[in-house]
Amino acid sequence: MTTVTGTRCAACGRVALIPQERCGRCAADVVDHAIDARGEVWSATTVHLAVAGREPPFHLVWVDLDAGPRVLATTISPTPLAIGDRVVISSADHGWQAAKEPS
Amino acid sequence: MTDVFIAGIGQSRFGRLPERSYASLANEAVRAALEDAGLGAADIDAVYVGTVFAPGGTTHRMLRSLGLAGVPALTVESACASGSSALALAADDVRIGRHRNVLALGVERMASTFEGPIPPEPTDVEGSAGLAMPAMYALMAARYLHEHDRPVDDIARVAVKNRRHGLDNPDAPFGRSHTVEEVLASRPIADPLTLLQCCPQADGAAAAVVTSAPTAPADAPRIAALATTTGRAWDDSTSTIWSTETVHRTATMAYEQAGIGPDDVDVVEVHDAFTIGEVVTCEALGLADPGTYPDLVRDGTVALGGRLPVNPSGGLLARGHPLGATGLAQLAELVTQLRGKAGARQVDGARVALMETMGGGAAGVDGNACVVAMLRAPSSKGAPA
Repeated sequence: MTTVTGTRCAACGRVALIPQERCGRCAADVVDHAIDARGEVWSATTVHLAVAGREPPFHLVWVDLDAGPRVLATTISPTPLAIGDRVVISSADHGWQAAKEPS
Repeated sequence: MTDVFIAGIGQSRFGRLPERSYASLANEAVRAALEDAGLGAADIDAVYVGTVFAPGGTTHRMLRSLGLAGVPALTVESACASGSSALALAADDVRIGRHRNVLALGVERMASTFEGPIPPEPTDVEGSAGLAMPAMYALMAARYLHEHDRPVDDIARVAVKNRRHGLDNPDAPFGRSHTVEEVLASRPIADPLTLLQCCPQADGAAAAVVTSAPTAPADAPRIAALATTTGRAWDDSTSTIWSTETVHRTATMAYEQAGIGPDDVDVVEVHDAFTIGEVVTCEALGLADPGTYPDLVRDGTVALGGRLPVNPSGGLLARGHPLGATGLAQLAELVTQLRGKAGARQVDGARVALMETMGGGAAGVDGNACVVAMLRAPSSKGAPA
């Protein structure tokens, strides 16, 4: 299983991928946690603006990981991902990137 | 607790005004607000200033320049809701009896500062990935259209409505007559949003005098509710579109304070920074069932002349969006409507008004801040009860 490193709340068990010092739900301490990198595209857009040093057009998706977190990812494929696509995320220059899950 | 009234409102010109300083913009808005309230600078007991991008010290440079230095003054930053947050603080001061006359002022120089959109914040985990505000609203729009199986025309029509409303508003420089086809054919920004579905950058200031004792009570709407809060963590898989739980929660507080609900509202100003913003916000406010707001746009219910006009001013889409000034410009429109002085865009019989402002941009939260206010018409003004 491919994983990415996030955090898990020591008290309520909430898993998060966004950087955080404490749990976003209950403010308890968190510990590093390996999170299943698979998930599903919740929303997708193609951006036509030159922002954040990105060359337009570029693609952004919000991915709902099977493990719980929703995370913003960029996509490297020239073909945009669509809502409902199964993906795997991995670490990239700009946060996370998503690619179609190998079938 | 003391009743709180809006005694005066004022706006500067909005638009691309590179020759205008913060103080010059503020002076135009404050002068108009004081004159409208029948007060002088010496009558102001405290000041709250909403701004996002003004450099440190701007509040005090402005106040010195306007002859207002020496009173308690604080600067508040809540992204797009900065001006509305300044209003909320001013209203609280009056409500608890701390001050009698408090000035809320919002100012921003957007068009003179940025080429294109606001640059996404590089220290933000999503900003560094390129999630500019139009891209975030685009992700909201894509999800909304998918969930409710609707065509993009259904959100684009909000731009047609609001920019047309702006034609009747001398304070809305971007009022235009557009077809849905023209909106959709404008330059792509972040799919499915096109240029005409995005609010223009603008410089501008807006101000309001909040008071417990209006000199002209017949011109002073009462604040029936003013609720504000911040978004909760929003980085879990959830069915709710960004910002909607926060808007709903804030509105619920406002309806409780006012003792009335969405069915009692006559006129609305909401945060249409992007077309989809008006759609999901009005549904979160309870003005339409989930997934149905586009029907109200299509059948004219929420246009001028309809049962519940939304953004009769033309909204941010027609006025432009100087972040700090926007909330107070929304307020100015609703005060004008409740006084019955909105001219060609007057909403007949407007007695209860609702305004909503949403500020966002921080990753992982469901909105940096949301403000919902409700206003009631002065008892002797407006349409017969």
